[in-house]
Amino acid sequence: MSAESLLAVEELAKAFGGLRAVIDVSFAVAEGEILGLIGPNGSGKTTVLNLIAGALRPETGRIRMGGRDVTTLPASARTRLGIARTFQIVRPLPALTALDNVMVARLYGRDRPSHAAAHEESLRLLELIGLGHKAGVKATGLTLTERKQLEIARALATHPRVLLLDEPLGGLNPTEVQTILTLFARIRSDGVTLVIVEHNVPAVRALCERVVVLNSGRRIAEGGPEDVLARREVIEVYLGAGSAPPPPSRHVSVT
Amino acid sequence: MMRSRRFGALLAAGTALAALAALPRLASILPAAAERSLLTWMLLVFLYTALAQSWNLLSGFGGQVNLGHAAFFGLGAVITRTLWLKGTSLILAVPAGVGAAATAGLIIGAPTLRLYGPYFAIGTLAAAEIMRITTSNLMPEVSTLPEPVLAAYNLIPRYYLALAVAVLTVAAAWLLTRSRFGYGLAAVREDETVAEASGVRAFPHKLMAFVASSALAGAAGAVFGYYFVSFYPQFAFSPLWTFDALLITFLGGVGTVWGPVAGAAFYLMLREALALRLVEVHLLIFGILFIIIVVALPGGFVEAWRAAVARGLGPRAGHHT
Amino acid sequence: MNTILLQNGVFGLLTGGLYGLGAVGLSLVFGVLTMLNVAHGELIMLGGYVSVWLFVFWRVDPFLSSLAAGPVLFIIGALLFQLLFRRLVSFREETKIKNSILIGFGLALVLQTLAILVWEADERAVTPAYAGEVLRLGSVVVPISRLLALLLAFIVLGGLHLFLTRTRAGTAIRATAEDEHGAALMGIPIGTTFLTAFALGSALAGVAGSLVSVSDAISPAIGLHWTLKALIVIVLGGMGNVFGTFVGGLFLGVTESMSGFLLGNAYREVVGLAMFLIVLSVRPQGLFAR
Repeated sequence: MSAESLLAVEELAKAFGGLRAVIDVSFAVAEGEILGLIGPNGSGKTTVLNLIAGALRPETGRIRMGGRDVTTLPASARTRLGIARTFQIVRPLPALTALDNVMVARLYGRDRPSHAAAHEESLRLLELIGLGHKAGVKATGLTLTERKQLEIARALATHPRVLLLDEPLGGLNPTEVQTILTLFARIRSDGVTLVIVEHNVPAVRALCERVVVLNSGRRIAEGGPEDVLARREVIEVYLGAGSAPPPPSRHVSVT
Repeated sequence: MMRSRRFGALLAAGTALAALAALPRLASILPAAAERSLLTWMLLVFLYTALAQSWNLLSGFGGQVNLGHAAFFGLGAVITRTLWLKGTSLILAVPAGVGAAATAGLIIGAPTLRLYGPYFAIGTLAAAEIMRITTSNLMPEVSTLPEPVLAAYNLIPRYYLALAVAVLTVAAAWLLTRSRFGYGLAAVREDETVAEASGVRAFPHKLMAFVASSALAGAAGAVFGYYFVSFYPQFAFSPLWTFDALLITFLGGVGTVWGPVAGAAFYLMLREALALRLVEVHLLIFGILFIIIVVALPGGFVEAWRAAVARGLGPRAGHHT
Repeated sequence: MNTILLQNGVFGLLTGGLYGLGAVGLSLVFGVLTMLNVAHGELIMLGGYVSVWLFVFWRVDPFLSSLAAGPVLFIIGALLFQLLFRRLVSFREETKIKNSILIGFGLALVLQTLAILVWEADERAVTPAYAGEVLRLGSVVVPISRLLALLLAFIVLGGLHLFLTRTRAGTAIRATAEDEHGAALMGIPIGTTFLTAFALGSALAGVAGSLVSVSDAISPAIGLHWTLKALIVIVLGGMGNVFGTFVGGLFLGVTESMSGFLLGNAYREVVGLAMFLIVLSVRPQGLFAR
């Protein structure tokens, strides 16, 4: 592990009953980096994300954030240390308005602003994400795309240093994908480190500087996306799992 | 516009409070019997508002359905009354009852709030039953005010205690909706996992809400213990108090500041009306009413009113900022 | 000393069998529908009144009338399900349990008040001619009627077990409890299965109630008592296992009668409730987890 890595997982392991979902997975994320976490369905990507965010506890292994061991901390404490996450299946707080969903995260995030400041910044975040006009609408009244946007706004409202994104592009049309990718680039340029679990290989190729490939709970490859996605063992994993193989580099631009 | 509306609301609340505080003086011009029944009715509205609002704090705003609320009411009632009748000043006896209820909330809340959502409800039901049975074992005798106390019985101080406790519970709910803690508690109610992911520590929020809720239930109990002339101690622990708190809150609107107030007033009016000719069936009607609200109108009065207002506003409806 | 202990144990087992029977219906409903009907004790109370009524008017033997209490409560259960609980089916799990608890809480009050209106608040008991007969085993006394009640409870549970494992409807119920969506995909009519399970759970409460009337007093207020007993038994005996529930009932019965003997009768109720809270706290994910 490099000394300057912001987030590091070391030898993480997690089993559900007899199923070993994550087996001795290690990797590090440098500050300001965009890391892709890829692999076929059931390879343990979401579990790794849940372990880092604190929704699950590992059986063995360590998680370090900014040099601090956070392995035993509850999710809320990790959020306050700067680890934010989105959920694969969007989970807004249903009875609260879009604004209040973001307000909660802003009020309880990494620094504790005043009520007025939190209100102002939450509105600004909604604008940024393109939900400004829906601030007063209950989360149950939002479309799927809007809920996905809200999910990201809520995570950003905690002022994360690392943002864990669990399939943020799933279910979006190409235009929306472009919009979100542009947003990620902007978030990153604001100094936020991103860890992205994603199936959309062209997007991963375009966005990530480095990818970690998981299969059956194990890390099988790590490196630059072009290099890793061309490796035989990675292609075999995708073919063998019955999923589509990574298609040849299709153009997705990130501005 | 926001500011002027808030100012208007504060002004209205202040005026209402002043009117309620002046009511005993104003009512003294009425015939004695009318004065008495008016003040008694108001006192009961305050008592039931406090009972329901204290339940609402944890179960409405926090989403943790407490079916053992009566236990904290009973604890406040029995401790306050016992100390008071033994000669302790009310100024100490009431806080003692409140403190006992809050402590019980802490002791019962710490293990039960870790239970998976709905099991909290039956856990509290069991805990309250333990306390009810224990009370009936320890204090089997009926508690009646002794002759000298009865001779000096004055409704006015009881009215003010009830008013103070009701104002306290409503103020607590009002502050909750405007505080950081309130946002955290709402998040916990909606989805604990997401709340945690947003930085909210779920368990301490639930526990604090439980302790506040039981403390205020204890305060409502203290009013009951001070006001009622004669009751069996275990009656103050009866699940019926929990049921009343649920019914009133659901009538008015769960998780709203004014729901329990409106619910309490309506509940007592209905009870009064039913008592005239339908004494035996009033519980039946309340039970059916409660089921209908849970099944068909879970928002209660306040939600129905809001919906009506929103419809009335027409094109402006839904514009919130 | 030994005799008293043994005698207490016997009484505990006799009562415990009824606890088990009283709980199994609640357990079935929860397992299949993920709904917690906290008015289950009131259904037991109604079953008790079926026997009381049949006995008062026609001198029907309580063991015979328990055969009537089952179907009567089956119908009442079916009506309650259609009227109140059916619309909860599509809710997400936590809302479903929460709302079923709330509806049950209101329903308990309604049934209790109805019972007071119809039968007055007094305690009733069914006293057939053989009510006082006892069987002497050495120095231990076993009341015949309670022994018969235990036996019948055992037979009913055996019948339930056979129904659940050997019939189509029973298999459908078990499959639905295991995996609702899977069962639906396999062509099991989920709606009917839910209705059957709820009505069957109520019928079991009815039979339990009429057996309770043989040995215990029936009054409108006994509902909460029996609901709590059923909850304790489910927590002790585990979920979705007919015989586990029965054994849980026996265990609670014996524990109560022993603690009644050791701590005094006033606290025998408290011991079961405290046990319930402790077990729940040790396994906070809920003992109902299968």
